[in-house]
Amino acid sequence: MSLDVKCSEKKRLVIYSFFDKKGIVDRYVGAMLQGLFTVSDRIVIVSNGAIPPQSRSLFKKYTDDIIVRENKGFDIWGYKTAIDTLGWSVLQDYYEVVLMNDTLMGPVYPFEEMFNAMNKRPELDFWGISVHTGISHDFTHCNPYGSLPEHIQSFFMVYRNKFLKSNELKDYWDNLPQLSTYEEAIGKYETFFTKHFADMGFRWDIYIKTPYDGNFSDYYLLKAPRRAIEKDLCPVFKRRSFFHDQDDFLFQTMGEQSLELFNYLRDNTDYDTDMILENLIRTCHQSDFVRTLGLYYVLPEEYLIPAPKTLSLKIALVIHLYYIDLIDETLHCAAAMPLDADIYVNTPHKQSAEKIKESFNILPNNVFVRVIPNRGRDVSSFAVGTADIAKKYDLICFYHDKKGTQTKPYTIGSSFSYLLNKSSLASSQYVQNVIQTFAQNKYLGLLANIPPHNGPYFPTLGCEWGPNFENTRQLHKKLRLKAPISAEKPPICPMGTVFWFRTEAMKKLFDYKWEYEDFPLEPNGIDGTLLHAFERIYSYVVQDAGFYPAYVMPSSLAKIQLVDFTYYIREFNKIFTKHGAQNFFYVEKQILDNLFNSPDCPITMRNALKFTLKRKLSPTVYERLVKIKRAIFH
Amino acid sequence: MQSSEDNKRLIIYFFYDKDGIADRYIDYMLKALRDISNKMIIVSNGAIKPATRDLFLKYSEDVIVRENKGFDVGAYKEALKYEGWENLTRYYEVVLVNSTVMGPIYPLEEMFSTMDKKTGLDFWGITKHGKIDNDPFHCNPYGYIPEHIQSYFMVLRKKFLEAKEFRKYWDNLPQINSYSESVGKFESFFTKYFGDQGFEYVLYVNNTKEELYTNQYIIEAPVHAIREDKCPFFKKRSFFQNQDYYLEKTMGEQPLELFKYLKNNTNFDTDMVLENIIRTCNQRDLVNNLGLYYVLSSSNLLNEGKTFEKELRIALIIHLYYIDLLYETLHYASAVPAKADIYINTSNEENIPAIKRAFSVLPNKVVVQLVKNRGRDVSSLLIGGAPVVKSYDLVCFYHDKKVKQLQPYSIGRSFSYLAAESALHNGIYVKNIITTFEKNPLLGMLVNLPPHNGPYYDTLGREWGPNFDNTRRLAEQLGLNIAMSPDKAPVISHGSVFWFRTQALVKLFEKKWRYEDFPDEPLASDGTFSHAVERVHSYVAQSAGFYPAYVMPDFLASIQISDFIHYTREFNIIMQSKGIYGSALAKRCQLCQSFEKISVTPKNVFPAPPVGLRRIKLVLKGRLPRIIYIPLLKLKRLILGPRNVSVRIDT
Repeated sequence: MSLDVKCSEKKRLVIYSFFDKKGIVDRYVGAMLQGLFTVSDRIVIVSNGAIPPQSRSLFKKYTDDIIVRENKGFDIWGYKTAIDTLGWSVLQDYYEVVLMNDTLMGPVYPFEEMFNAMNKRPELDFWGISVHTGISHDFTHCNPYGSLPEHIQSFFMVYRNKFLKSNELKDYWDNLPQLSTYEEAIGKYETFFTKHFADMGFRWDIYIKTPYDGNFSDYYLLKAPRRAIEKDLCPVFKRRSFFHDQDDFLFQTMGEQSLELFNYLRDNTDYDTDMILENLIRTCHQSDFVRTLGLYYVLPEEYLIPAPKTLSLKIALVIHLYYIDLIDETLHCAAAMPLDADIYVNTPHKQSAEKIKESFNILPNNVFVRVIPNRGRDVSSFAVGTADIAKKYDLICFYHDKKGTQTKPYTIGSSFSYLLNKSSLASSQYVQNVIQTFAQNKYLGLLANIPPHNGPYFPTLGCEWGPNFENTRQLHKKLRLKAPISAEKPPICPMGTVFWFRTEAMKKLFDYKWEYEDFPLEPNGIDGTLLHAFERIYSYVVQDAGFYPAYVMPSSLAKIQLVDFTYYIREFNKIFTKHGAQNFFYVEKQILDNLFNSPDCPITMRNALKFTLKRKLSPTVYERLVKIKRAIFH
Repeated sequence: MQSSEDNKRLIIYFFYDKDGIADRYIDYMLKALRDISNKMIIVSNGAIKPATRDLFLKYSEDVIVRENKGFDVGAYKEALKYEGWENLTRYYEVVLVNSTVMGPIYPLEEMFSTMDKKTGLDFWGITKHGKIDNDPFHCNPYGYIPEHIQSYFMVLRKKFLEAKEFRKYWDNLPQINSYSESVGKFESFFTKYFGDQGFEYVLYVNNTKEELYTNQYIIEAPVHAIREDKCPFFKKRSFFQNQDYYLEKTMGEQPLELFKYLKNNTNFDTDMVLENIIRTCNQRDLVNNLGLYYVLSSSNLLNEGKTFEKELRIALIIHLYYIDLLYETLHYASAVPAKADIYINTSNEENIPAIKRAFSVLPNKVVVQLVKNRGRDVSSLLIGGAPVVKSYDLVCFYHDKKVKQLQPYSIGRSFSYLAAESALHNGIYVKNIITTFEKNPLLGMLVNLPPHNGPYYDTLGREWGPNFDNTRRLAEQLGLNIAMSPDKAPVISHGSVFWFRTQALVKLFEKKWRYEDFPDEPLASDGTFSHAVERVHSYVAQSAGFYPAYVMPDFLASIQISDFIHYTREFNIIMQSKGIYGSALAKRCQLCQSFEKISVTPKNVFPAPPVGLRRIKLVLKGRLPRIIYIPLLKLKRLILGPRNVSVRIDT
């Protein structure tokens, strides 16, 4: 007990470094500050970059010491600014000074546990939560040791009083070099600090030991966060868990680490996982959290998933019906909707409206057939022809009939429609499960099919943007969307424009008040048009509204995908193996790159020509050439 | 069928099976054919089993067993001669049909009465193969493949049989020595040859849907052909077609959709399909074509309200080696239902009390037994498990796993995560696995997906490693007669954690194994008898008439799909950045060509280690006998630590 009393006498200062591009403070930062508040006597917040008033008032709940500085020198110069502002004499008043940044989320457990445990180690000069075990090759090219030695990870470091009083520490901070690149921040500070002081005889340790004497992982907190929390009672986890490089993850894990973390937090701890989602949705690229959180919903099509929530959602199906000869197929898909859902059929064929009404009459639902102008295809049918009814419903499935007659044999396009139909309206149970999935995940805004990949669609994977990044970004700007968008990261878009969405999430697009005249008259290009930009914008609209997009498929389709993708990978690997080049994935990638960079590489003339033309010519000219080529060679 | 003299029909049924076995589907087909014919001649290329002969004799006295020569066309020619040109002309129709099709789905009367109405015909068939501009077989006299009636079912009318051109064709037909010749000189030649001479022909199944215009309607859209165009047959090939062929034209969904359609919408007994393809096909084709990846829910029960006739008796057999993983093992063991019995094999007597104490919290009957420490998990199941498995219908084999030869250890931990979660994620999931076995009586074993993280990446594509020959030898020893190929990956349980139906592996347990059969420690890292045993499991199951499949909980499927898309995308991005577009097949061709021109190996990519350790290792591995190399490697690891694969850093 005496220990506890002593504890409370031990004064603690927390220097919290904050950075957000827009200066916005999300709920998770509040939760962290609240956790720190109970174990510290004073908190100093350093923001790298300006913050809006509401962020300031949020910070004010925990401290009056708010330093706002230019975004320069990373969190490290943020710490330095705080240290310089306070002065060493003030710092030396404290038993512990904590330097930490906002890349940590938590606490999962009260911080008292950790600080009490570490209080039992009075001999330490400085300590942290976790280490990186180091790496022999210095990729930063600026670490004075020429390698990256084992080090306390700088997102959380605690200096003890006797360390604060040492001249060595003061010298270090007083002479801190300028850090202008990320590499310098790592090479000259993070990976340098621990060894630098350890070599001078200062004692250090960490709270969360990497299992198996450090052999478990180079970066335990990132590669096995669930284990760190569950077994080693780590109070924090990294925000990076949800957007870290996939190749690095897949080097050590099966890709399960982040989803395991998220599910564990949600099901077994008090931590509010909505705080994670809110931050990710606001700041991250959608493809990043989709892959780390495995946002590929695989739903049963033959039975219902458990429904803890009774459904009171208002549902509609909006069909853009263009091909009258596909009416039976369309009707078959529409029949999967629940009885209380309304069905809207938009068609540009005035003369067929009666026929459609008749056909759809066999459905028990309310069916509204509406004739729309033949301008803008399925896109205007969505942006204009769905906007007017959207607010009456919570959830809408947008469907349009598709004939893939651009490629021969037509089975290729037919398989694409199969993918669309199955992913959206596989069966009535499946549709119920989709609705239930929306009900259970309040941040879910859009469910799309995965991209097609058979035959000539294969390049779609990795070429999701095609020639459509610029026009999508224009549209992104036009709609004043804030969701991050990058040519390097694929959109989670419903290729084929058949998808489920929450109307609340699509509000911004509908509120724009599109007119049919905003869309180009036929004939439309096969790629690179406004219509193609629209196809890719939906998920960004959803993300901007604070929701996440995800992929969905019925379990039978998941089987096919597993067959297909293991097949692709296996066959590629067989070639590598045959030539003695089989290796880790990212090594094979480098080999591939080297292979095709070689001047001897027999890239076919056709490929080379196509590639050069595509790159050099404007999309319209290129497209015309393609059309001419197709006319000649079919 | 009631028939007047001038409405007589002769069937020539061509049969071929490598082993001369006629499966149930043949019986079903012959019965249907008999009902619409007056006479049947059954020709087999190659010897047949007595049971096959009995089956044939049920339907016809005219059974010709000939040497396996000349393919289908050789067989047809012999049958035509057997009947005699004079006799043939007494028939209204002669039907040539072979055993590569399955069915019928609709009564054949429907088809024949429809076709009877078309009186002016010389010959007809069911489906066609479209034109191919070049001749991949190099045997067709036209130099390309013209549009033609597919030869699996062809009907020749009386006036055609009487024509001298027809006789001349058969008389002049050269000896057919290869499949290419059979296609070039008969199947792809026949239709145009006679069509050009003014003989009239039509198809019964005409593709009515423009979107599905394709070269082989019956393969590329079988459900549509059956449902919309009333095609009475489907090709056996649907279920072992090359995956590239499917993926160039479809998403690979066709065979699975066909199977589902047959099962749910027709009277055709799909077990007949399974029985045949399990007996004759390579298991990889089975898995790929039937999508044998079970994605099971971890949150709700599959069989709610349903009970099965017989409750399966279930056991969990655990090989427990690492006592420090005891509680993890216990955690996974607790997923099996209370009525299941648990057997724990351990090779360390000292650990038995601790194991008993820990497992006493479970409601199950728990038996702890001592096994010899030779042959690890493999002998633990085959010898330690042998006496108990026969008392159960379904067994899950589990063993604790620690991969210490790879650093960081998280690589191995993720592998054990994959294996354990796929077998024993939680109680609901395990119940769903049991239900899956109940619902699919021909399912023999369920295994996890291969690992693919870090150094395991090339497992996909290297499932055999250096183990093909030893596995085949073992298969021969066990008397398995089953398709195996070094080019087609086995469905193995990477990590030796899997579920199996004991009936499926009976052959493996019946053999009296001794511990001495297994290699002693230190175990070589690959190519041993134990590695062969691991790979032979699924073939044992298959030869017993069961199919192996993959299984995973739903959340793991999401992760896997996410990973696989990542791998595929990244490859695409690199190749596309060099201007190489096109399908997966096209890209692979390009990759092959490039590899043949340029030698790029990991050595070029990574600078060699400073002292050339890697090179020394390779040389030693190649030159030294394993018995010396392995201890050397261990010694090296003892001194220098485990293999540390280079790590990238990210903060």
